[in-house]
Amino acid sequence: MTIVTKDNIILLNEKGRRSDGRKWNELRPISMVVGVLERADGSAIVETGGTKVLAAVYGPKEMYPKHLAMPDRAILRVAYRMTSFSVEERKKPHPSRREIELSKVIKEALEPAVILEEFPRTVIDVYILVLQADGGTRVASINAASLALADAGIPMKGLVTAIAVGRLGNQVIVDLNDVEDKYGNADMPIAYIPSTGEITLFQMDGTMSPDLFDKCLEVAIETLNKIHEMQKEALKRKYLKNKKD
Amino acid sequence: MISEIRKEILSNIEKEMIISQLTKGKRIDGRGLFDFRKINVIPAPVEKAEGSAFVSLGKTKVLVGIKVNPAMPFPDTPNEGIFVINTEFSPVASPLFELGPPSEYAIEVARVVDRIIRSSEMIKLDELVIIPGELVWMINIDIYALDDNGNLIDASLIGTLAALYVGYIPRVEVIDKDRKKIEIIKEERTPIPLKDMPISFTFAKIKDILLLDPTRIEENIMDARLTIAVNNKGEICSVQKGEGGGFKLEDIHLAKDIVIKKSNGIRKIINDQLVKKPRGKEAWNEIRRLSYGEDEES
Amino acid sequence: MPIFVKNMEIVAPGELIAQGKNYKIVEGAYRINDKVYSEFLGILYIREGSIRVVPLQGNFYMPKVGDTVIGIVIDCNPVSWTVNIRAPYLARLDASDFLGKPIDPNKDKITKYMDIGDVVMAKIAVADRVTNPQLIAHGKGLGKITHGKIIAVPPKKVPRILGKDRSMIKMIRDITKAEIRVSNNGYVWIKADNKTVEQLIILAIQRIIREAHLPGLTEKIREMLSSKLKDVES
Repeated sequence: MTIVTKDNIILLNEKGRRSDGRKWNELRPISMVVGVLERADGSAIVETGGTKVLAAVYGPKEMYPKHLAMPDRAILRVAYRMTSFSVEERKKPHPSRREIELSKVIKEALEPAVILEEFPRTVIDVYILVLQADGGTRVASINAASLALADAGIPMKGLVTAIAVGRLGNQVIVDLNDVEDKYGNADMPIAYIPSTGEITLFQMDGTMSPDLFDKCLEVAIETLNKIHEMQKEALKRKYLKNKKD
Repeated sequence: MISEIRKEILSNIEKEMIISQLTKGKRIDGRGLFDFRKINVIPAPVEKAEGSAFVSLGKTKVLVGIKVNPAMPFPDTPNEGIFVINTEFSPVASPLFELGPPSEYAIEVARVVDRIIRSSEMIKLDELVIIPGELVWMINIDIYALDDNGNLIDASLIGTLAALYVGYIPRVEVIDKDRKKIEIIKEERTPIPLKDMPISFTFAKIKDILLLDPTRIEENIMDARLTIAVNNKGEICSVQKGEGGGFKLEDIHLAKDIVIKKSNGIRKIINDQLVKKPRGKEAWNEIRRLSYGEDEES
Repeated sequence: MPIFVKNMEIVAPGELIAQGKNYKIVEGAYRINDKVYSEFLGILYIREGSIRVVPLQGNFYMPKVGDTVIGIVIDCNPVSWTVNIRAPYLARLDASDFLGKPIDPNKDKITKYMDIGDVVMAKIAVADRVTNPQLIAHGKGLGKITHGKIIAVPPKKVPRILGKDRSMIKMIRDITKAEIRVSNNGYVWIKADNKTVEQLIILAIQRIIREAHLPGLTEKIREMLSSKLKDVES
């Protein structure tokens, strides 16, 4: 089955290869580096193919203005922003509605993982900057933010791991790139905390049959477990490096 | 604001220690008074930008990107292209930065970089015309601070120079001049027309001591700041004094002499990296290496 | 009752440490049913069924009553100071808990004793979830710090710098003959005879921080200090 877009991009060829030559379940090259910023309390860069995301964490720190603080727990704040040159058309610097919505859903994806009760009346700030966008920026942001939180020494029930799955015709695909994101038939970003088994970000657009929907979820969890291993490895890397010396 | 002040109040013991070392000509990071920190220039990492550069100045890091678009010229310069410089100093880079509209400081940095580029006539604006009087190229230069460990001015300028240097303009075909109908052929690129590479030197004055390229802690205790830029020909092409303190005449002479003496060396450091270093996808290997702290020397 | 990670291994947040109802969690871990997971990127210590995860990261300090802290005065009120102790909360030090007697703000200016930027060694007198911590700086070894060198270390690494039964810090003091005090909130105050020794102590502390998760550290630091001190003397 070959799937071609209106402007002749081959999304899926007869050999089952995708626009960038990947198999249906193949991930783009992933790189994760933790502790990349001097000023932030925790930080990470996550790259998934052409998508490059930087996350910085500050806190827990005193909340100002004080009336916004919670007496029994910390507040988590998340700001997701894209650089103006991360996309084809220059994005104006002020936050778009998309950036505001993504900030919210990313915050809600991270919140269940962070043990906020340990820091009453404080705030933990997460700032995410998309340096280059090539599909899957929200899931890369969640992967980066959860590493940055761990790097800041904030107690967590587990790392949050995220991936987008979707479909091209009847074919489930994993880790959608920009073109697949735009022209594919469905896109389903998912975040998951492997230790607690909770799904904390769940969105979909496009259409999907109930069977394919189930298949997508199954494939997503499988992939998320793989990415979770990479995250753990990225966190431990600098200490393991010292150990070898 | 209080939460931020909390982070930034330096203890008097540390302040006195830094100052007493400075009076002996020593800095806390071991540099001489008029040495730059290590400059790393990584050209063109952002493939979706028409020009970009990742720059580190010691532990200060910036990412600069360029987008170009056809636009109406300004009425007073109908036959010149346009460039706009914007700084985004978001909290990613420092707990002192806030979300929201740019701070006075961010705007000052953007304007200083803008004036240096403009005064040196670095960009050949007359070569950026598509339809005279009607349509020209607009170059948007956006400077993102990623990690503020002092001297964002010089880091921002270096990033801007580098992004311009590797930047390009797509080929454009005028289809109907009267109706301003054009076709942009993205794949065919010509470099952004440039003729100069101005270099800036930012000094801090702490008590009676003048020093180059201040770190964040030095900025924290500085009384005044001075930026002097110089073009290819060795002419001074912009000056900005900042902060509440003042400079004596001899400080200014000294600073100027250092700028004149050192500008070619710094220009060469930047140029060599622009010419030699890999661009595009491979640039990220270097960003990763830098971020991983394998490049500890700063 | 399996254990999935070895003693002294590095664990990530959410990593499964052990399964079984009899494990006792001391700190840094949580339980779902009979499974025990780590809360931090940290080092796992398992001793006789009790589980402790000591974080490897974190620049903040959580105040505990009785801790010794070094703080920087960031604000002065007529009868109290506001002190940054690297916690998510600003601490309050009342003038009477510094001077040992009440202050009359009409006659006496508090800034005469300590001003913004001054450094104080204090103890945490009150710390709870409801109010900001309260300090006391009156008593032996407490009060304003006016000389010496202070370096900041990650608060989570303080136990490693002190060593078991303070063995590490005692050893460094004995070898270098310097005065050193380590506060629970991650400041080290050093007063050495000369800059070279001071620099050597700083290097030693930086190495402890870097290699906190490695065994045999006390011996390595002892060797490093003795050999370098010999170089200094000769």
